[in-house]
Amino acid sequence: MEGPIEIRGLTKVYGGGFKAVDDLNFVVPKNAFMGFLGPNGAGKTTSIKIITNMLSATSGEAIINGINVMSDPKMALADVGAVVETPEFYPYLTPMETLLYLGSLRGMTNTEITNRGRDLLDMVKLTEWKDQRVGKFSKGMKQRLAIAQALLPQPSVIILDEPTSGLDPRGMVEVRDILKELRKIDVSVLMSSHLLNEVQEVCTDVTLINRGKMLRSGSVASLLNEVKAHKIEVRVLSPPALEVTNQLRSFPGVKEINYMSDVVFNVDFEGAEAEQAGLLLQLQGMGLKVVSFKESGLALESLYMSLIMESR
Amino acid sequence: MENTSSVNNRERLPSDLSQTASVIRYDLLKHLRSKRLLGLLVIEVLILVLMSVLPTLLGVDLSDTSPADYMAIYVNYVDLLLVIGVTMFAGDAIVSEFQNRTGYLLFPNPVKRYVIYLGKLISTVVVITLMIVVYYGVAALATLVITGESTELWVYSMLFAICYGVAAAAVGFFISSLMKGTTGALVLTFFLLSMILSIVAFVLMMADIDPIFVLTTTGSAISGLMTSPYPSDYPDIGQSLLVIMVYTIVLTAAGMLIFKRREMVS
Repeated sequence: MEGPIEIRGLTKVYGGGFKAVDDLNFVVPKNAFMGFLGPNGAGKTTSIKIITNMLSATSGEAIINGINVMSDPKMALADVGAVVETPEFYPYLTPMETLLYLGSLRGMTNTEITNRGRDLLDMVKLTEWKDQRVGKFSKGMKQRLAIAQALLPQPSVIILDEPTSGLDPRGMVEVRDILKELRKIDVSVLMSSHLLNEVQEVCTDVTLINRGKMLRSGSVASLLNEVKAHKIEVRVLSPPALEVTNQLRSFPGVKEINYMSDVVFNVDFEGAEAEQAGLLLQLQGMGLKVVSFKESGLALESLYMSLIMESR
Repeated sequence: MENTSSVNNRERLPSDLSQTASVIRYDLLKHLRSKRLLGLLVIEVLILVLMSVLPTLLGVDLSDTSPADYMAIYVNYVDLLLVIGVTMFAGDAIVSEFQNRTGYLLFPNPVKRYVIYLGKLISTVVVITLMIVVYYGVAALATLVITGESTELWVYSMLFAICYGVAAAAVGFFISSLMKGTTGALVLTFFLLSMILSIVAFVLMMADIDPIFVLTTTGSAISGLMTSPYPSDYPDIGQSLLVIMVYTIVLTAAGMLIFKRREMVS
């Protein structure tokens, strides 16, 4: 399978023998918005740094639009916009000057940069700050500016490393709104994150990694179909008797029952939607007056947790 | 946001030379807007004012002094100014990209590391040259006012000082590409150029080895050039220029290589 970003056998061993990325393979399909998911220390940022030529790989290849980043980084990154970690800006430059600098390195004319820069600064809500030096900007403002500079050359590939990391709730919402805008344009995105709701909200595809190894890669829809483990929150009108709880534990698919309060309990359950409906009927059949019966947590989270547990 | 298909970013990618010019332009802007340049100008003005005004205030008559001797008083401080200038503008030029995390902004762009290195080095050389030219210019003017005459010797001294400044900047950049922190890089650059290399030269002399290959030894030619004929106990100009050239080329090449291989780890 080919795509704008192809990762083949990527391995990174740091000094001391620590293997941060271990024979990683995945492809970002054209125009996909791929979430790159994994717990802290899984190797997401290391992989992204290799793809953006900030780290060298011990072995393997990172290919962008058919060009190997390791052998010709300049040409490989020509059509890439990237936000890696939370970059710092040159404090003596204004946002527009920053865009003029980075745009000039890409061969954009001053007029082109100014026109596009104006639109982008408007999009990331920095228009009123465009002539202020970046030195005193907040983290959220810098992150928005970082996204603007990544979009400046109208790249066909965008790489984002935890773009909402460290932002306050308002900043996260603002950045997430910008990310959703990216889905509307002709661009392939690779975005690392450990925020499952963020990935489920904005991504079309997902690659899960842990300990530097790829666990699963595919469209969000196909991965969600694989989810068998569910956490179901049940609220009943009155506390169930002990024998009812014991009886519940013996139901097919029920793995665990945890009481949150006298009348609220979580059921760790394995089964498809039909089995879930069956469980509800059984609860009611046991005389429990069910007030609410809902899946708690995200489906992607269930898959993520089960894959992470399996990989340990 | 627009569709990206109409833009061919690969075709319009500028040459390395053009990108170097961009790096020079924006790095110069950094220097021009920095407090460091202002600080260095204040030091320059302070030296020039002290040298020009203090003797008059103390009633010392220097009008009979030859212009070369008078100008030499100013030139004696060029070495110190160069050490301060190189420390300020070269000492942390590369390491700051890592420590201040601005590398996360710059490095994912389609630009080769050596282009960044060269652009920054050239902009530093431009600022140091500007600093030297201004200093010599004002000193020459003061010499003309005080002694009523001028000498062309300062031009040779200035040209040599600029060459020495280029090599010193190469030393600063090399240290900057090697060190992990800005403070360490600044301190090492300062002490290497002001003390360590001089100590090495002194020890070599004690061992009857000609220390001409030690960069700071060649720096004494800046003062020597203010004497005509050129004093025999000063380092040979031709050899000194060769040493300066070797330092510049070797350290720049080594610094570029280190910078190219350096990883953005933290």
